[in-house]
Amino acid sequence: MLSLPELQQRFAQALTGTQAMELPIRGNRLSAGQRLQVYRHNMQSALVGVLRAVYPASERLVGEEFFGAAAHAYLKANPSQSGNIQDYGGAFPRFLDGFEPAASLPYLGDVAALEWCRVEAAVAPSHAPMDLAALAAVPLESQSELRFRTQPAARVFRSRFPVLTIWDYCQSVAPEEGLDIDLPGECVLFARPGLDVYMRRLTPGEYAFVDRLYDGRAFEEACQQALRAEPGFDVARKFSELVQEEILTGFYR
Amino acid sequence: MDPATHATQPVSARAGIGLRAPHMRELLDTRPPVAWLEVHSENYFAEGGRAVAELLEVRRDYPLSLHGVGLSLGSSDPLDRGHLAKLKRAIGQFSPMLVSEHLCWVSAGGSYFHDLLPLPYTEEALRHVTARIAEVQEYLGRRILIENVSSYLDFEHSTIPEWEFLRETAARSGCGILLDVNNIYVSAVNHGFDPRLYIDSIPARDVQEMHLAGHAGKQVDGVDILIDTHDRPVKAAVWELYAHALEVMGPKPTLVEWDSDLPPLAGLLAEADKADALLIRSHAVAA
Repeated sequence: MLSLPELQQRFAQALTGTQAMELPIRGNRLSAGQRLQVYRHNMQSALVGVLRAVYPASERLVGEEFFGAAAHAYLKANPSQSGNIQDYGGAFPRFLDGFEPAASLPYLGDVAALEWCRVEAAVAPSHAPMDLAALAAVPLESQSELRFRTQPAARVFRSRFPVLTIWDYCQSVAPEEGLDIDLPGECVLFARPGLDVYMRRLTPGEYAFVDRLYDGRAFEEACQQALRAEPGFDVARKFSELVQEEILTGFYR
Repeated sequence: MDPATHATQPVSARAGIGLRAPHMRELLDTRPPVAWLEVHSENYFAEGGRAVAELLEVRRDYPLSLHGVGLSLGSSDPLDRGHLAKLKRAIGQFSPMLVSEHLCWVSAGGSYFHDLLPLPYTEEALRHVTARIAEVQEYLGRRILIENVSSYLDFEHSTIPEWEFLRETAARSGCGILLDVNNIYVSAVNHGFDPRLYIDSIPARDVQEMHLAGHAGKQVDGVDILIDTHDRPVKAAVWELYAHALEVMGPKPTLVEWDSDLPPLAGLLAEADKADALLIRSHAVAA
């Protein structure tokens, strides 16, 4: 008689189709394989369903059938690692990058990555806004050394493709013909001031600024990088916008 | 009402509904008079965002039950401490009147299958699962309910009838039972046992909640089996079995679950009203 661990290991291998396994299942009019198939079908529909829910824009770009094939291929290589099905699918964008049949859509993986960022932003915790009085109390000569804490729900994403333009296109009820993917790449900021995530494009200066601050670099360095990326970048205005949007939530030295 | 006060109230033996995301907005806007609500625990493990905020709002007006699908109590993998910690946090946040999980396994070798897989009904599996339930209850500092699952296969080396396995699980671990009447019916048809015998074998005092849901018939190569689909109204045969359960056990908090092809909220509430009518009758008989 198989021990419980042995039985579960064999069952798992049979279920994920990696190996044909003898299992002590009572036939009772159907074969063990047919009975197992009911479970395999349930598992696959649940996981493919999650991918469809997380990546609707990507699905729109490739169509339902193609997406289903990509999702099934992903399932084979990426078993779920969590008892919470909502954790599933984070590696799908980079999987799409290497998915041969999608090679003619090089931007697909980045559109999916944008969608995953949205999901992450939607469920991240909320931190309180910046203590402005404490910030104002920092002596002028120390300001350049400040580093900032950022809102967990806020994040930046840079693509060599016009990802947000493509995502917007996928949202329209009747997408106009002729999506121009030869537009320049886009940097996107995600924020969730209340309960809903919004996204906006960042200028090269904004991106350099925010990206450095996210990276924990000092204020002065972030300013220099922003000005290098975008001469004339208005540091004071952008900084106060980021504080007001509650994207920067704290500081330390 | 303060969430904490709900938690200490006895659970009323009335009908509730499984609350799913597509119904959330309408429920908050209309506040229908339903006795209680149940959600899948894992859907509210997030540390922030809309779902959690909305459920906190729901919790101010309705008693709540947290029903887990991912703890994998029957798995021989180690218990996922991270998952358990998130469940504990959710319990602290939402003060549910009931917390439940399934008598099954959903993972092996670190991979999760997101379907409720049946255990072999052996002494070995019984010892394993009862020890795990006891461990979970100790960590959470409360009793949990364990639900019987539908199944589409049984193992050759099972030596214990499922109803005895369920009864023993409760007796040995001290957990309560969430008796899913639809699951009993589905498995009874699939495996050819008497569903009334199943119900008659479960001690009424251990049953703290019942579930009802729709199932579908499916033909696999010419052979009929029932699948626990949660995508349609409760079948007549399941209502009959439920009436029998109430007769034997007295009224129990009862939930109507519906997970795919959701009807409008009013349709789901109407289904719960049918259960409520039977519950009210059962209360009258008990009085």
